[in-house]
Amino acid sequence: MPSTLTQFSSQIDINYPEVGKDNDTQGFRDNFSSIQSAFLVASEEITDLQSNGVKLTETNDFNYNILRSPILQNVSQVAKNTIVISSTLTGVTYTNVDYSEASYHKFNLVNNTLTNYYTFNVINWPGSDRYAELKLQMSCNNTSTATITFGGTTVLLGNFTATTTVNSTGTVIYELWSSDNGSTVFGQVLRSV
Amino acid sequence: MASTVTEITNQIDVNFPVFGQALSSVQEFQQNFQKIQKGFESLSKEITILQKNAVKLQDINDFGYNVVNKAVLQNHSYSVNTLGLIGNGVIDLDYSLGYYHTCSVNSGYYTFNVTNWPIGNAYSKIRLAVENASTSTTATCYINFSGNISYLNTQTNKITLGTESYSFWDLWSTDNGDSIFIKKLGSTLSTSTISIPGGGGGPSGTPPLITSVYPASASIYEPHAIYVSGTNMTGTNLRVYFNDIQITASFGEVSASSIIFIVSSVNLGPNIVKITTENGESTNIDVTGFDSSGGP
Repeated sequence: MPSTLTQFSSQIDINYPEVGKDNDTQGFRDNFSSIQSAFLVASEEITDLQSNGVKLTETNDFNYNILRSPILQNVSQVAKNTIVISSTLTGVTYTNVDYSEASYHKFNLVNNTLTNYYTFNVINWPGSDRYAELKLQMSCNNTSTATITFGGTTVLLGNFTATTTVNSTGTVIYELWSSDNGSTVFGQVLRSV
Repeated sequence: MASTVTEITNQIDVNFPVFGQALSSVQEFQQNFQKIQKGFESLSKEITILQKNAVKLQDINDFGYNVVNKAVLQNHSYSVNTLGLIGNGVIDLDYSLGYYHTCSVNSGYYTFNVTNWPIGNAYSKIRLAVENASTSTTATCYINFSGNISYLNTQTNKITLGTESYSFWDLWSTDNGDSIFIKKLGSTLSTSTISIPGGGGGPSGTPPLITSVYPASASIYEPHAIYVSGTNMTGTNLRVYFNDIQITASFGEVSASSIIFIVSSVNLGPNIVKITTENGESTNIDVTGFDSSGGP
């Protein structure tokens, strides 16, 4: 929508006061009023641009509005610092993975027993009809085995079942994705050592 | 580019009228009001340009293939193109509609054709999810992709999807779709054998090859005989497409390694013929204008 301040600025009488005429001082007041109204509109429009415009030097929240046809160059995604998780001596260690924080999450698994169970549950998927994917990188600290399970309805592709293991010498990277707010989550194992 | 409003507003005489001095003319008042008005006109134009071209947090923004440099994405997502249940034949996947394309299938033959790849030297990728929506029967499908395709591994195009299971592919291009790379990610059915034809054919046979085309006479409107070689070309897996529409062709000699069939609806053109079998598809051949001494 174009600027509308000229609706008021066009009312300024630029021929006032007239030369050689006894001018009514109301003309000054009318002009000052038009000037003030035009400034008010300009201020509102600039304020809207300031609050609604994207700024190159700040975090911008697009609130799930579409960016159409950009070409991305030198673009990256937020990766979360490595989190250390310890297994329990009995039972399962549950961890929430918040998609809204980052799309790459790293975990060091501290195994305290011979068999260690961890369940990861991704939360805050972007909503239905929005495709999102994230990666989970996991490694262990010792020679015990970590058994990884994903919460909700998570289906891994290929020969991997929903439960995989991470041994002490390697790193496993999972890629998970969903297009229905996490109701169904698909995944694949990108690397397993 | 900085605002130029002040080039005008700086001309406003802010010392007029002078205190204690009799006014010799009212001209200065008029000139100041004129400059104020011109300043507002310039301001209005600049605001309008910003309103039209600036990226806004609350609207859809079309970047027109301009570069966004050094952004760090957080909590981002991509558009989804939901095709629903699709029928046999050629299915367009419109890149501009989404990054993630989903469809449901029954048993049959499907050729996916990606359209509207971004222009210029841009790496562009989509992910395709094919689902057997049936809750009671498996689906045996033949999945092909049209275009100049390079597969990351040699595969055949036959897939078997269990009830409510999915298969996924990644497709990408860097040259507006002139060349397309495809990687099969896998299936949620752990025991399925998922495969796609490679350029030289999969391990189970040779894709069909149109070797000769002969019109019945010199007239382009007469039926054309199409000679095809390949393997595994008998049975129900054979499909003939005329201008991308599957037709019921009249077959002459048919063996496992060669076919002769007749296309009778040749006209001024184009007249694009394509053959598909379980081992892949032939290249498109325009049979318009061939004479009995020539061939593809």
